[in-house]
This record gives sequence, C-alpha cells and structure tokens, in this order.
Amino acid sequence: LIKRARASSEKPSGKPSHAKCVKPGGGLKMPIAGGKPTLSEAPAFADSEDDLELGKEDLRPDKSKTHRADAIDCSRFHADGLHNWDLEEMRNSIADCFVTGKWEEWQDAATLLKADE
Amino acid sequence: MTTGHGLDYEGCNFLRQRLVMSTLSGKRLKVRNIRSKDDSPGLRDFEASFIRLLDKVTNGTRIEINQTGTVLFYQPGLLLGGTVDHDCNPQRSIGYYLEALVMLAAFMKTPLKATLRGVTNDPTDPSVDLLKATAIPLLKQFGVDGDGLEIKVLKRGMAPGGGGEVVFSCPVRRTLRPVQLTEPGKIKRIRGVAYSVRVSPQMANRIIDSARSVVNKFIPDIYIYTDHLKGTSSGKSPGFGLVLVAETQKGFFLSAELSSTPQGQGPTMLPEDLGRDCAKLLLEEIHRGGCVDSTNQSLALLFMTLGQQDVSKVLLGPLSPYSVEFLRHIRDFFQIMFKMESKPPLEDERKGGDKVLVTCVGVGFSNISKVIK
Repeated sequence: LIKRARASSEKPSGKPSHAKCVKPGGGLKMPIAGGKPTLSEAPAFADSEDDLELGKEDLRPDKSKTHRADAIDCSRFHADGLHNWDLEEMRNSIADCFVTGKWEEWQDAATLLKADE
Repeated sequence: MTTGHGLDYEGCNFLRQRLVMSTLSGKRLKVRNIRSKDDSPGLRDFEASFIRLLDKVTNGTRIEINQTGTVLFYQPGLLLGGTVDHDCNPQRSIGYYLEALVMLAAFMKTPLKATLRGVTNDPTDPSVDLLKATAIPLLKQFGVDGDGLEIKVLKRGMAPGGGGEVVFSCPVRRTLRPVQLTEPGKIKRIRGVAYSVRVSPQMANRIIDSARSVVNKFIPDIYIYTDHLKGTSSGKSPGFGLVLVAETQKGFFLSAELSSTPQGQGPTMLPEDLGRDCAKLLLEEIHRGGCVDSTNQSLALLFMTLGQQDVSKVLLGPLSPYSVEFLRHIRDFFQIMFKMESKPPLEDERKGGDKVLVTCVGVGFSNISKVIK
C-alpha cells in the first residue's frame, strides 16, 4: 500500500519525464541507460507503473531497495553498533531481566511473605 | 491476487523465505534479475543446492532456471517428507538449509527425517547447535512436539571444508496452535556449548572461562558444555566457537553465538576474545529481549500466520531487517497484516530496550497432505 501511494504521489513528476524519455526512445530499457542523473528516479517509477497498467505483474519489489535485492540472504540481526557492555550503567539497564534483579511487587517473594503474615 | 496467480520478485536476497512461502501457499514464484549486474551472474551453487533440497522433500515441484541462471521459476508441489539425504553445498552452513526446513517440516505428508551433510558451523548463518537450542523449543510452543522432534549433530564440520553431519527429524501436524507469548519471564540460567575440532581441546576451556567472566556478573547459574569431537567426526577444517543460550522461567530462549574465522579467510581469533565477544552478544540479545530471539523471529511470525483462525500474540525485541522483509512477504503470499504495538520499558524498569508486541489472526492453514489414520 505504501509503495502504491508513493508511486502515485510520484506520478505528476514521473509523467513528464516518462513521456519525454520513453516515447522517443521506444524501448523501456533506454531511459534508464540514457537518463540524466537528476531524472534517474523518475523513469524507474514510470517504468513500474507501466507494468501495473498492463497487468503484467501482481507485485513489484520496492525500487528503492534494489541495492539490497542482491545482498546476502541471511537471517542474522547485525546491529549497527553494539552497546558497550563494559560500562556499569549499561549492565544495569538489563539487570531486571534476570531472576537476580528486582521483581514486580505482585510476584516478589519478600513482599508476598510479608503480606501473608 | 487470486490463488492461481504467481508472485514476481527481483534479486537473490530473501530467496529462502520466498521459496518457503511459495511452497506453503501453493503460489507460483518467479525471481528475476538474480545477480544480473554481478561479474558472475545467476544463482550460486549453494542456492542450487537449496532448491534441490526443496525438490527432494516435495513431489511435483516444477523448477525452471534460464541459461544464465538469472531467472528462476518455481511452481511448488506437495510436501512429501520421509527420509531425505542431502549434501549441502559448503558455501553456506547447514543452518542456512535447516532454517527453511524447520519452517516446512511440520506440514509434510509423512514425518521428515533429513540427513544433512556439510558445514555445521560458520560465522554467517545460525549454526545447527543454535537452532537445536532455540528453534526446537519454539516449535513446541506452537504444538509441534513429540518424540520425533530433534536435531542431532553426528559429525561436526567447520567452514570452509565442512564434513559435518546433522540429522533433523520432525513429526507432522495438521494444524498449529495459536500462541499468546507476551510475558517472557526472568532469565533463570545460562547454558552453552563450546565446541572445538582439529585444535587443542584446551581452546574450549579458554572460551568458557572468558565467557563466564562476563555473564557471571548477572547470574551464577551458568553451565557451558565442552564439545570436542575427534577423528572422523571432526570434519575437514579446524575451528572453534561458542553458542550461549539464556533460558527464562517461562521456558523462552534467547541466544547468541560466535564462530572462529574459517581457515585462510582472515586473521585468526583468540579463544578468549571469542568467548568474551559472544557473551556480550548474548547481553545484546537480552537487551533486545522478547519471548523469541532475533534469529527465530521469522519462524515465530510464519507460524503465527499459519495458525488457526484465532488471535496470536508474541512479544519480540526490535524486528531484524530480515523479519521486516519476512512480514512483507507474508503480506504478499498470505494477505496477512500484523498489528504492531511498541512497548517501551517502564520508568523504573531495567529490562533493556523497546519491545514490540505483534498480533495477527492466523489464516487457518491446515496440512492437507498429512495422512489421516
């Protein structure tokens, strides 16, 4: 949905260049090869719209991610930067994830014992 | 988008999730421009090996690849299962193949018993040890359990040579159980495996000592097994590594792992550094938190989608880029959208970073190939 919305919002800017580049060239590949750097985005969108109109495709991958399309297929989550776990405050930030950390009131053994008395 | 239609993608990335979802949904798949701008265009050997594995566990699958290998057409057949034997290409570790197989195994006609040979541990993919420790308990949460469910490492084979052997067996299920995994609970213990092959068995002990020194500040209940395989079960290449798993009271697992640099592919790594860095990766994973760790997010998302027509809820850490793409593919193949709620930690809580609660209603998938006795 987001893609469609973006594609249609690009339409006004995409159409003129589409008309300029595609019609004289005739082929679909031409505008991409011969396009000026400033117009490099526009023909790409016009191109995908063409296909949607013709009903060739059910779905096209997002063009903005083409550089990732051929990346390595790997499920690992490589975070940009690891936290510095040598710092005391960083270690403190996860202290309650462990049984040794602070417990919620309703399941804290000390509080529950006191309530029983 | 009707059932008869196929889906069209570009590029080699996310090939496995596309093929898995195509197989489960029965929708045809076409992937174009596979490394079309690369010096050596087309599918790589490991991808071809993966497609062959899918062909082995299914019946009636139609696969067409063009001459340059830049276009793949895949028409899924029926998931058959049974005993399968496969030599996994050593460019990727067995984990690469196993991740997809774990997603498919429960929906076979007959229980799957797959013997996979190749690289058991490398730095790129989740290792078989990690999947054994985390993916198997996750399958159980969704009702895929029983005696048949296990991953067994018979031989260890490090990258680049490989020579390892793993057996994965899984029972079949007709339907999956919807889940409500919203409260991870507190971490009660840390377990792990330090493995070493074709190096001094002392390496594993050095790894353990340094890993312990980091996590011991949080919890005393730590046990890391050493696994030193010798002779024919030690594969073709030397190496070592560590898998750490934090288990919560509620039976959820958060994991991290690190494997030594494959021989001849860069500077060697000291076992002390490896142990310490791996322990820090585990802390990072705990900081992300949730009921399912970052490696298994996609498995959980898929099984939520395939569940009965009932609400499933799972608390996750931040979504990995792979999972984000996985959700997009779920939308394409199953027309399911997830509801996502950000759950920032409370003011006085020291439980790491923001979590996300994902909710969906399953498609009510049922395994039509399963034999009813």
